[in-house]
Amino acid sequence: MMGDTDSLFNHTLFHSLSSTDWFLIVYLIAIMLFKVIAMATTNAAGGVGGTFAPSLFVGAFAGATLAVICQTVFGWDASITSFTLAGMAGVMSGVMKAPLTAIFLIAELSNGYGLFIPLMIVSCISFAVNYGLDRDSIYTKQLRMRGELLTHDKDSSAFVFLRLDQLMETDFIRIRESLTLGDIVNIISSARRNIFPVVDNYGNLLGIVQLDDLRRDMFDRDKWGTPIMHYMIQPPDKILEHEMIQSIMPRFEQANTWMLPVVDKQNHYLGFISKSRILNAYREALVNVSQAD
Amino acid sequence: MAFYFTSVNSKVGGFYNSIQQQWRKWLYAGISLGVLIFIFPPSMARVTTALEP
Repeated sequence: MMGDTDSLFNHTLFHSLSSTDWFLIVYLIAIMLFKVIAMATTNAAGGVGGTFAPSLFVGAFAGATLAVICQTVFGWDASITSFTLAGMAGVMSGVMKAPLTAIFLIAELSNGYGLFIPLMIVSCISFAVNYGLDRDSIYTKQLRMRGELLTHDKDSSAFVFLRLDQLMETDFIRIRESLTLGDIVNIISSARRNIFPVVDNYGNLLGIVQLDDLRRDMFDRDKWGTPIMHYMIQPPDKILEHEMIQSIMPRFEQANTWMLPVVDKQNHYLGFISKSRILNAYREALVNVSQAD
Repeated sequence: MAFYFTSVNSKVGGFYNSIQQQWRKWLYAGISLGVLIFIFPPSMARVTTALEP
């Protein structure tokens, strides 16, 4: 853009206003703001909107708008070209958190190092302000929100590789709420685990029965008729199937237990997750992460 | 401006992530992009003059 602002209004509804100074500024700002929304909408809905070129575009418009404001409002002799290039560098270094890339890219783009000092100043200020407001670049932000960002923090990096569905144990014998203690004693003789999930006909988790609670009564044949619901307890906590391992570990601490049942959103029983299994897998993942460096 | 860029990007991304059905995402995005392109059409000065005889 070499100051030819009239071409901006070609084919628009506002062509009649193109010679109005204040409208030019409003129009430039509106394009700048809505360009971001258009880009984000395209990207979010599944299209390919890019982030690199739009950030340069928005930067160019930011710089040009400032130059136009300086010219028309204050009457200063501001170069639209230089302001546009500096704006591109500034927004790019802030969005990508890459000030040096921005400085050199725009310096090469403008085919000369005459603007080098202004580019450095703009890029550094923009980087510093944006780093203060938000430490992530546009690329790492989504990863961090999903908890998948691998950083130098090896502890949390190792957790990223742990998947709940892979660590979940499903070899527990499900028991119905209608069974009695006698039925359970028969089941126990063939069971390998000491916790039994109690489920109804629809697979909903009603509670759990622990072998420790049955031990006193299971050798007393007179009590074999007792319904199992009498021994059932509620689990201290339930884990949802898609939870991240990082959020599960504190729940074990709160519940002060080594085993927690995993259910889906409709409370259907899926399996159990044990703290010792997570810790074992965590150790292996940590070794892998450390060796990868 | 760069902060506006990143924050709007993540807000719009969050809004579209909250929509479950894919056709609904396309519908909303299509309507909003259509309105935006109508208000801010591409300035095709050179193309149109080239096409004119």
